[in-house]
Amino acid sequence: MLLPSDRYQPLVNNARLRRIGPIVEYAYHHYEEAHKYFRPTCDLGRHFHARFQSIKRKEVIRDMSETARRVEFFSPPTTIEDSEEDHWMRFCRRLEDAAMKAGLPKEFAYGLAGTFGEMTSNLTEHSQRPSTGMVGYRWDRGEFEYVVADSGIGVLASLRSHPDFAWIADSGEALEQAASDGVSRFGLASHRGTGFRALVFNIANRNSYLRFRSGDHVYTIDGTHGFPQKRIRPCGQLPGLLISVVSHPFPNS
Amino acid sequence: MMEHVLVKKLAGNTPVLSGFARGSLLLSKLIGQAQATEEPTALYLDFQGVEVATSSYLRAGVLGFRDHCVKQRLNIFPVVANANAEVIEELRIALEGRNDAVVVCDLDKNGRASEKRIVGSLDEKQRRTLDLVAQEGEVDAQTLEKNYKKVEPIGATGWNNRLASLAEKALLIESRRGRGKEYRFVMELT
Repeated sequence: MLLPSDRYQPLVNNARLRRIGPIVEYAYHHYEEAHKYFRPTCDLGRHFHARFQSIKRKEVIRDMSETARRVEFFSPPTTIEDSEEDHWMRFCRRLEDAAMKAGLPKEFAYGLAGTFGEMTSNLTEHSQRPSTGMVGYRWDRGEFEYVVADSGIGVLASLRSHPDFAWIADSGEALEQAASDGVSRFGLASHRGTGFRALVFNIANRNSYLRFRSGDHVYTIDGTHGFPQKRIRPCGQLPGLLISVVSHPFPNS
Repeated sequence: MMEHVLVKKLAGNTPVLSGFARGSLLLSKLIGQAQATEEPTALYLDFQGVEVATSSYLRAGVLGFRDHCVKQRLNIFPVVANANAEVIEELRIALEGRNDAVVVCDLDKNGRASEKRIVGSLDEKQRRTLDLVAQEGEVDAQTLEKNYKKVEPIGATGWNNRLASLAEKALLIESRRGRGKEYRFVMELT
């Protein structure tokens, strides 16, 4: 049962937050007026809030280090030409470093960084509002997390813009289709859209949890308890798309 | 003449290459460096040091460049070199369902190619045509029609279509001989 907003806002704002996925998700619920609803009080929440505001103001972080911080938020490229910009490339290197510091095997850390690149590329290409994008990572020993979010047109509108997918009824189906083979707004014949497949197949069965949220649905794949369990549920409206991935070292690594 | 490109260096010296956007940047850099050659030339796209290259990246960068070379008749034949198993698998995904393939090999320090192979998903007829051209060396549609009438009862036009289609994938080198065209397997260049 959903709580009324005057009940859940204090709960969210006073929560002791550990992961960045829920923070970003909550903020993107109210992307345009997040400052009105979202005033987190814990350290992680306040750090996020400050970065969220500065990213919205288009302030650029100039950090050429390749050493991961514990937690970091960044503004993704808004054009194809920016996708090899120096500061962005260094952020991606820090994200790779974070995954390794969390204890993930090197190959898997690179694989996760690859899917992160896919997701941010999709944001630039498909969201139609790449300037609303935000990405972040966090690591602890034994856990790595990344988030990619935008407040663009969302997966349903993006896919429906191609006649091949005009039949899709809701965001739940759209999320499920986007996670299947060769599905993107460029249509079936383009054979594009395999970025999502890589994400789903390579990560889900490696002790990871994936959460895709767009429109009024959320699609989760939980591979932290054996065979990955997929689930699609209706939920409150979130414009754009949010992807969060949480990975742990697998038992025998 | 460009015959060898270190992809990692060209792509900003990172071991992870992903996304259609960055693949498009690789494409524009490769196009910027490529110049038409007199003689058919293999261009090794060397993936040494690359840990991950996703299918979207490869589709935009490698396949995009291969198509550009064919369309612009540059006489350049891209060959993927020193790609690890993960990159080869992503290449397979990029080629899946397209009836398409590329030449892949290992390259040593002296530039000698080994482990040459075709990666992709050619249909049975195209695969057979490629094998026959490899067997014949240099061949035209009329010769294939004459020599393989019993095993493959199609006319010269049918053979021509198959040969042209493989040349469009940069798997065959097409050369004009008078009013006709002859074809040889691109692997000969490596």
